[in-house]
Amino acid sequence: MNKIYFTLITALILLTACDVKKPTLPSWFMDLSIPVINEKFYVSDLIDSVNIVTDENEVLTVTANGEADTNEFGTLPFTPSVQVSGFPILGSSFDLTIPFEDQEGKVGVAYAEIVEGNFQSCFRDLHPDVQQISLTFSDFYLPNNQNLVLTSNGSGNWVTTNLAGLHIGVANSNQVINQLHLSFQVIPSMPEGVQVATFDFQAKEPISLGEFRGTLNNYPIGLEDSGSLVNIDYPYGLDQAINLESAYLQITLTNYLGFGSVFSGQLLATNSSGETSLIDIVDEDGNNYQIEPATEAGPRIMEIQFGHNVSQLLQIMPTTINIIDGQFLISSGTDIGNLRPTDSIHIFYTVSAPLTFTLHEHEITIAEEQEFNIPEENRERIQKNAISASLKLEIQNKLPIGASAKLFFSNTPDIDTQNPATYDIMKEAAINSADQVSGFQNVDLTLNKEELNIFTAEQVYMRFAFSFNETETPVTIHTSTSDYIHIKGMVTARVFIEKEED
Amino acid sequence: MKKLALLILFSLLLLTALTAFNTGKSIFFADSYMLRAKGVEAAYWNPANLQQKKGIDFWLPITNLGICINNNSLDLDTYNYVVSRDTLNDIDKRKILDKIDGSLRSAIESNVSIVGFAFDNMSISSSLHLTGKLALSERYLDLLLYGNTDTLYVFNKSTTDAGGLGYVDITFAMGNFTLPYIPKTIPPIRAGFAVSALIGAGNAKMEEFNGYFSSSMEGADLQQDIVLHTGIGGFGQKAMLGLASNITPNLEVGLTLDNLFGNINWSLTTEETNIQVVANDIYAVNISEDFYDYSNETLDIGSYSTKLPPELRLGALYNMPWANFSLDYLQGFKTSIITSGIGRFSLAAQFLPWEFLLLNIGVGFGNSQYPWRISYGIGYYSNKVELGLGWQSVKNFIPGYKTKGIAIGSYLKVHI
Repeated sequence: MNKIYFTLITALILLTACDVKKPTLPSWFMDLSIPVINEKFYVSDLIDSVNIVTDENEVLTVTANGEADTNEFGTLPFTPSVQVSGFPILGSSFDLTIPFEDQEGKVGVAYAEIVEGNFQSCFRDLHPDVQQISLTFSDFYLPNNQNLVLTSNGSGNWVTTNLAGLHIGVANSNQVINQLHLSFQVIPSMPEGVQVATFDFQAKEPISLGEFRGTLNNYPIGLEDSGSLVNIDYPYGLDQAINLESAYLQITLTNYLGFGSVFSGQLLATNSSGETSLIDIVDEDGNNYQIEPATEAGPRIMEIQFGHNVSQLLQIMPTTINIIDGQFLISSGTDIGNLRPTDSIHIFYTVSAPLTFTLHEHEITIAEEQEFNIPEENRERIQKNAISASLKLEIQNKLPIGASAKLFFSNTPDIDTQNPATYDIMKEAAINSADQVSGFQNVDLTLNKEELNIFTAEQVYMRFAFSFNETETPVTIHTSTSDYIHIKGMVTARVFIEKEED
Repeated sequence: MKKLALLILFSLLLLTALTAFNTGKSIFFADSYMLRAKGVEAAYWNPANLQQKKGIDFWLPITNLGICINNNSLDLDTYNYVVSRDTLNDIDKRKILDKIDGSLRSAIESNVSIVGFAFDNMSISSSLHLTGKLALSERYLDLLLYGNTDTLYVFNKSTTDAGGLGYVDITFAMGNFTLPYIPKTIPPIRAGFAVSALIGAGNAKMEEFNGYFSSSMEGADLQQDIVLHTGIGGFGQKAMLGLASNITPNLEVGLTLDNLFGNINWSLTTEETNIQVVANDIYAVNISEDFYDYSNETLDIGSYSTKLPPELRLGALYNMPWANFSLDYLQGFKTSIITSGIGRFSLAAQFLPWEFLLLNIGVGFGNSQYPWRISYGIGYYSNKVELGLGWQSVKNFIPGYKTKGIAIGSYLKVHI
């Protein structure tokens, strides 16, 4: 019995002599799931109320605006054609009427300030009893509103009279002056029928008119700069991938001239390939736009809508749109108008392109190459602990366009997406349009250990390329609250857990 | 993360499951000790059995010692297996987690005698009690080993908890009173009582622990609320009533009701610590330094009490010339840091191959809160000195690689 007890006790003691191993922590793999993003990107967020707006139909619309001016009107050339030779002056007083019209028939003066101009007159063959002859121009006024009066003692020489500072007619007159009225007074009085002198007169050189009132006919005004009206910069060469369905050009004209006009010209669109498209600036009936004159209350503001044929220009996705041969042609007929040398026509334009377009399959490569600097600590962690990583995306595309995207990674710069030798890995993801898939679409991007090693270098370069899915019919981008792209993302990374080195 | 994981695992392996024991020697018998306790020890087990025939029974400082450490899940074999692996594969991870039933629970308790003596039918004694517990949800380990999935992880106090209690008792006990008015047909019934003044050293109690973590396409969310009460310096009391009777010359039965009026009131320094971490809708793209709200606030609070719920113990002891056998049943009225609301049995035997040599074995039958265990002990007995050494294995027959915990106990008493 005692031996049994002894044996039992000994066995217990021996069995309790356990081997406890040195505590060293093993390594293991664990999968970490980290949510990356859960956001809705609304189309309406693109609206900046400046270049991207929404129209009354909640269609996303790209808009651009600018302004241009005609030249200031400046001085108005008026070229009369007056020639009087050997006109006999009889008796003590005498009146003469001479035609006073523009040679080109464009300008009819009711009132005008003369900036520059002159005419010549000559009294000869003066009667010996005559001391002096005075000539009054009823239509020419000095600054003090006294009529222009010339006197002569009959020297027989041509006398040039400088008209600068004088004005023709009476302010606010509505009567066009097409004849000059001259009155002669002889001192001392001579019997009627006696020729006291012979009068010569000529006014053939252009007279520059300042402030003007009268009629203008067939008088064109060119645009100050008929060069580029609209410059369109398509990001990432987007013009190669889409065709806009419609666009509108609204021109707001501010006419400071007291004359109406007819606006004519052409719009010339040129794309990046040099292709051009030309349309006339006319209304839907093919008529030129009529510009109404300014009034005494102020300038006339007019809005001109181009819509019916501007889309024709945009079919070539132009980078510039020019107005060529643009002019305002004034033809007032017998209607009296007025203008000042500083008057002009101001143009404010707005181009609106609702985003209704057709998409073509064309790869768009983002020009800017992204460069990432990976901190040394993270590089070591990726190298030691990261085994694989995957990005799982759930994307709900509520837009009528689909696209596929490619991401190119390299440890050297200057990635050429067409040359695999210039990049290390490429990942591709495709998203269908809302018409094809209305719910969430799954996109998985997985990086294995070898691919993750790219991120163990100090510099990582990335380039992004995408292409739209071709659409056979035009699609429209709306801006309602139900137009968005909802992206949810989760990164799942397999990491290696091991004891940190001291 | 690695060091933290190692620290948690190692701590859990070493900490012990919650088992309140009153004296070190009871470890020899897997707590089937109510009617075995004599002398000073009877004050802690059944004061009805305080009956010194002559002399004084001395309890020497420190020499009566019990330390119990265990947990409900991991064993040394698992530990050796884990630390010997270079890399844990999925099978290894599953092996570890399969051993854990919802929560990795561990606790530590120690009982150290300070001084004690018994004479006639009374005793005065003092001992130090230290108890700590820690529970960690299996889901934390799941996260640590496998990582997270698209699942809601919920943590609460039922699976994650922590607490600690330390106090010194000064106990006076009297016993061996024969109950009057007992019919002569019924064997005499002895009665006794013990009253203890409790001097609280320290207490930590997790009042609230609620949290969750989820990570999905909808974002990551995290919330953790912890309310912890700590107290240093307290006073309290408890009392015990005991009955015992020899219903036959060889069979003795007994009953105790312990922790009556048990309470420690912490009043010297009491604090409430509120820790809250909240992070909602976290995404990698919008993460920043302040993606979460963290607050850690410690407030002075008024005094609070640690209740010591009553425990009922029933026992029977059968004596033979060469051996004795005992059966105990313990039922707490409420679960606390030192009591269990779930009843448990324990069974023990003591063999006496020689008069001076005592060989002990005991089995504590487990329940959902208390892992089963088996005890072994050896002791020396003489009229002047008693001493012994015992050990206990949790959830394994022999303290070894499969043991979920161990306990050791010693005793030394001098009788003058």
